[in-house]
Amino acid sequence: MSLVVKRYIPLAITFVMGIIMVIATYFLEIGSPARDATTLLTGTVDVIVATAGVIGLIVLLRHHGVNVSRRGKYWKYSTITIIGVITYLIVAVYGVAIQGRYLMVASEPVSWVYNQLYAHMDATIFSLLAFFIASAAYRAFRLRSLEASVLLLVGALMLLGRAPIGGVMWEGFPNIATWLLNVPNSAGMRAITIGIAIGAILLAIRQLMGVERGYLGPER
Amino acid sequence: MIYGINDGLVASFVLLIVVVAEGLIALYLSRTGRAHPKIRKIAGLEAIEEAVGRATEMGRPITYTTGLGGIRDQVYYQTIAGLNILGYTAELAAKYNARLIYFPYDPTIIPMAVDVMEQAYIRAGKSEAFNRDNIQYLGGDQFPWAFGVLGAMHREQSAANIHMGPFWAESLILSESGFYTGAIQIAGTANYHQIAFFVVAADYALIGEELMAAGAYLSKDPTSIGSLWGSDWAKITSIALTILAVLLTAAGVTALLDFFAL
Amino acid sequence: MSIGSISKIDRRYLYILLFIAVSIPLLSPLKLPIPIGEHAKRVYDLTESLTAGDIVIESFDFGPSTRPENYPQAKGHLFHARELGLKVVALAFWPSGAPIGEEALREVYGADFEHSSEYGQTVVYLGYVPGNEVGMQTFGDDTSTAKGTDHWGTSLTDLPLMRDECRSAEDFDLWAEWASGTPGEQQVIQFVQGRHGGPSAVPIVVGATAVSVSGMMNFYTSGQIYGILNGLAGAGEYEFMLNIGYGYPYEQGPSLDAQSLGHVLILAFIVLGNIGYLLTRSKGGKS
Repeated sequence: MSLVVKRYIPLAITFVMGIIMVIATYFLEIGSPARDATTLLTGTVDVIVATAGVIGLIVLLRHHGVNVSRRGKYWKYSTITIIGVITYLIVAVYGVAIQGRYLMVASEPVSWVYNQLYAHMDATIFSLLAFFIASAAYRAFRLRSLEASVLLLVGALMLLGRAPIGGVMWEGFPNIATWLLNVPNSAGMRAITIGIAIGAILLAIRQLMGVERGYLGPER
Repeated sequence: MIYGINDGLVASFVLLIVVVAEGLIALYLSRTGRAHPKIRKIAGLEAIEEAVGRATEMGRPITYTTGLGGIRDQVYYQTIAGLNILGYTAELAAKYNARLIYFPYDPTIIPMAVDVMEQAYIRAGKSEAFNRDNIQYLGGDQFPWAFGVLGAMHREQSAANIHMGPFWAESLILSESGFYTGAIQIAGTANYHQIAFFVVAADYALIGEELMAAGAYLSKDPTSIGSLWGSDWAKITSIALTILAVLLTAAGVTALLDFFAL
Repeated sequence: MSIGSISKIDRRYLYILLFIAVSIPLLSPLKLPIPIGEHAKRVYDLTESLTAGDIVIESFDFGPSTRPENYPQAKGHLFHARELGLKVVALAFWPSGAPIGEEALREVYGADFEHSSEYGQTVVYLGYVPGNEVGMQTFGDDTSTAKGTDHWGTSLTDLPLMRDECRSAEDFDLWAEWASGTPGEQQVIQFVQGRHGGPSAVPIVVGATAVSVSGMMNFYTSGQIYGILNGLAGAGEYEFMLNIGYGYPYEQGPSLDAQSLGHVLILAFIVLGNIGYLLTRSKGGKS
């Protein structure tokens, strides 16, 4: 594939689309036909993403299918993965078939799998975070330096201030926690947010100008 | 509309122009050699080579993730930054004959990742060593993906875990569990609510815009470094505006605040 | 057991202790009193200040993983809105939020609320609205363009609340965002509030997971977010205020007791780890 197709055309598309979106956001009136056209344009991205979902499915099935066929490492887990994917696909298609297009999200078979399996597994995995936080806090909150000590002190004050037991121990803990959130935390977050925003704008400018093109692929 | 600009976006547009202008001027000065800005060391990025070397010595792989982002969401810029660093890491891995396994979250990233890694292996002169099976898609849901990565880290006994991109609740799961595999951990995100977890649990952490600066930092390209220099100018402008707003408001002059409300 | 080993306890012992500490109050509640914080009070006061007939948007943007924190927040506020005679338009920009929103509405408005006489007049459920932040923007610009039907396929033109009253962000009197990630409160600020007159025109209250609250404080202090329910504690504070004002059942007590013991235990782990570390360091050893 020539360099024009692999590099210059994508860069040109990136530049033009970026300028169109900036103009649309700032200058085109909400509800105007031109604005609606750009909204439609961003909606086409959803079409591309939906197609990419199929790619992901194929990659997943291929990887695990090859593992199973070669009896590779942990091939039994790969078998479970493939069975799970195909089963849920069948359930989803069945749900569409019996309840119609608009109700795909709310179809009963899909809802059943979601509520009885997925929701519980998701909540279980998320609950493991509490244990990881405990071991991370035990391991990392050490009085190694002045900064680490300040981190430890603030962490302790927040732990006590944000749970009712802190208010039972001393009525000042909740007020201190609120102050820490409202003042120093807010100041730091504001600075980080502004910095990130500036960084994101200039990264976008580098992309629009074609300076940042590591994601575009091989040059030859 | 005010001055032809949609309501509520006038100040935003003016600030955008200011930031872009500063970035472009700094970029031009750097590119034409009229200025030679320097970037301070970013420990996390310097440590990547150390991590790859460690993986080579130990004969264990490197696991790499770019978080939960795709190309169409609001945090896509973090994913792009993560892919830039992936390219750098892949080139090092190719050079040192270390195995690099990448776990994309969003299927839209897969073709880009394949291209980025293939290009890196070609640059290192090891195109025949590139293996597409080292890009393992685990599914597009947060916790299934995170636990798939976690399982892979434990099974493969990775020597280095690198996480660069937008992360949410899985950040602590990955970094804390990764610690117990004995791997060196380098992580970076611009999601402010997860930065603290990476700082605490990873060996090296990139905070916020350090992630976005990675492309420029690693390539050492004067044009990219110039735009980073421009971002510093923009930050100084923000600080100046903040101080000015405080002083004016204290003096009872609300013109600047009224402008920002436009 | 040497001194150094205090700072290197096997994490599995920590996990067991944490499990026990969290389980005990769930089985036998401690009934700790709950202090009402400023952030939750502002959510309550702002909702109280609305008048009957005002339109509230309830956005269920979370999944089952954060349900223990977000669900009681959202359900309490729905109850509050109903008690005040507010008109509720509920929706979700997360697919996983749609079934949860439906469940909350059934608990507050009745198991068969979509067939009740008040449906379409004082409450509507749009379900999942696709498009993430673009969907939010479109919804703020024109509610019928974002999604043409409700959660069960009924056209919005057949629902008086959506047809005649709630047509764009100009008609919103309050946006209650129940969020645990993206799209969430920042996207509402950017794509709805910022485009339609700012905080005074579209006030926002947020119920969020505790971990994400620190990042939204700059929006709170600038007034873009009026009030925040901070995680499980925020949900408990709100339920407590509703219990006093409306007799709403205060159900978060055992969970907050469990959270309290969990926090104290983690603090104890930190102290233990530091004792071992400092003692080891003072003896010239490595930690």
